[in-house]
Amino acid sequence: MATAWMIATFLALAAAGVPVCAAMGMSAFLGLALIDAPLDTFVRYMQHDVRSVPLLAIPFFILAGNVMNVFGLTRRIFEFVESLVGWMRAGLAQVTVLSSVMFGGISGSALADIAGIGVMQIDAMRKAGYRAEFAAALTLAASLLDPLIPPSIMFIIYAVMMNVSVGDLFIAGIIPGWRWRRSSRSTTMLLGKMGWETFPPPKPFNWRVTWSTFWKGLPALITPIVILRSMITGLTTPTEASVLAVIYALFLGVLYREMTWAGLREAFSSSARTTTLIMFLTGVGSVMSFVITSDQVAEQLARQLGGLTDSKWAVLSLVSLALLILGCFMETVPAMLIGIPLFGPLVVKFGIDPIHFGVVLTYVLLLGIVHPPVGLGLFAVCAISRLRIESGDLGDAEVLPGVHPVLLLLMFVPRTVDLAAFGRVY
Amino acid sequence: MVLYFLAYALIAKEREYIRVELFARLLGPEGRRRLSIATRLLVLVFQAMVAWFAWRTARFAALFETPVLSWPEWVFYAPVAIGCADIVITEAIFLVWQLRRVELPASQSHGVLS
Repeated sequence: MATAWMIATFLALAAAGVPVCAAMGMSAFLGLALIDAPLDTFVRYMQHDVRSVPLLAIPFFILAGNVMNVFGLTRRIFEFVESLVGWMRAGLAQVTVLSSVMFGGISGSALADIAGIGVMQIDAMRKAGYRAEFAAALTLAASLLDPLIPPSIMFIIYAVMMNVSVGDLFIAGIIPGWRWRRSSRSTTMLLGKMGWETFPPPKPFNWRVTWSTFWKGLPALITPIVILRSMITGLTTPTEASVLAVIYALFLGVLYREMTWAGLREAFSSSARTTTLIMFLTGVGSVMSFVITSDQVAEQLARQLGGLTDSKWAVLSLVSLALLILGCFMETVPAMLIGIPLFGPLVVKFGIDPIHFGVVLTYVLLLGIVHPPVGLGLFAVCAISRLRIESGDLGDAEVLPGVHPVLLLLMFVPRTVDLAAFGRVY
Repeated sequence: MVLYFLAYALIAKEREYIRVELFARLLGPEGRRRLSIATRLLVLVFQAMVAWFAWRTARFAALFETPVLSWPEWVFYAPVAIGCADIVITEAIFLVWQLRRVELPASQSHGVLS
């Protein structure tokens, strides 16, 4: 009951325009009062999760992404990918998706992708003759890849809250991310084939340009490999890998002679603000999580659902639907902070692997950033493409159908998140 | 890591909060102003509560030390109290400005959360 009141209060306050952190905090205070816990515990629980070592990876991965953006490393990745696949049919559309995959291997944040490489992607597509609406929609859809391709901020938060390995989650995200890339590509091709979207003729392939951009961008291109390899081989933990990513990005800034004090200040300042927002939310979310756990909501839900079905797939479908609705009305991090303690223990009780659920949850909540009314990604992409969200200009409805088959695949084929099964399934 | 809570005051100062403006869009300019004052008051109350409880917790934690480095435990709670007190002051100033109908500086919309 305390949980129901707490969530209802949060939704009411958030809908009234109270900042999400204050809305979460006020409802958490109410939750604590309703379960007769001393209100002093608010600060203790707020501190508890924020002080966890895996969470320390978040500021460093954000900083690495920002350093790459500020020092022009993202531009080099884009130029290389453009010369590599730009000659294919709908070449720049493919460049957009592939460059998001590569940038996803560095930043781990969809909105960092939109703010960084997204500007370049949309500008290049518009100049080449693509419709602005399609360019914006594809950039938005491609940005969803970032939190799936390791490193991922959402995976780190999930791992801390569910007490699972960050490294395992990172590895589990690779194949779904890759599937999403293929799905975006297929949808784009289908749009062209059906005549719903006209693509300008691609540029001819030029070995010399590809070779030159490859050499110029090589150190930046291997950044995702450096990060992933160090984690997979066990050389570093994800937290250490995040620090390594920052050091490497700074080193590249010096190497390319693009490092400036102003740029450095911008990267650090932007990262500090983003990190603070995430950490404050995580801290307040920990208090809400404590209330939900104390209220034994997962047990109650399991009992109720147990009377209806014993199929883990039915439970996963219901939970995914609930998360999808939650994600449409809330930002991803707050939605995770509420969704994980509510549904995490429940799905585990029904025999679903927490790593598998982590990938499904992340994917489902990510869909929220492309849907109104709260889709931050939608707002971000409209801001950089100068399209109006209210007028429904954005052609995301064309690109998004490709998302749903991947979601079904993720939900019902657990092997999709198993890297060891890569060879067998794909 | 607890320094995050100090930096949060900067978010308040530049009004970079993440918020959902579903209801506000339906209102006229005066309604929006009133709603904004009400939400600011709520933020102020919330941050004041956190600052107060953080202060109490820090005072209690001052009785203990960390096991290895023997640092006083209050060090980990003080940034929450200071950061939230800072936000209370900032929000109070903004509230007074808003009541006097003084134009607030443009909000720096932000939020790279996903």
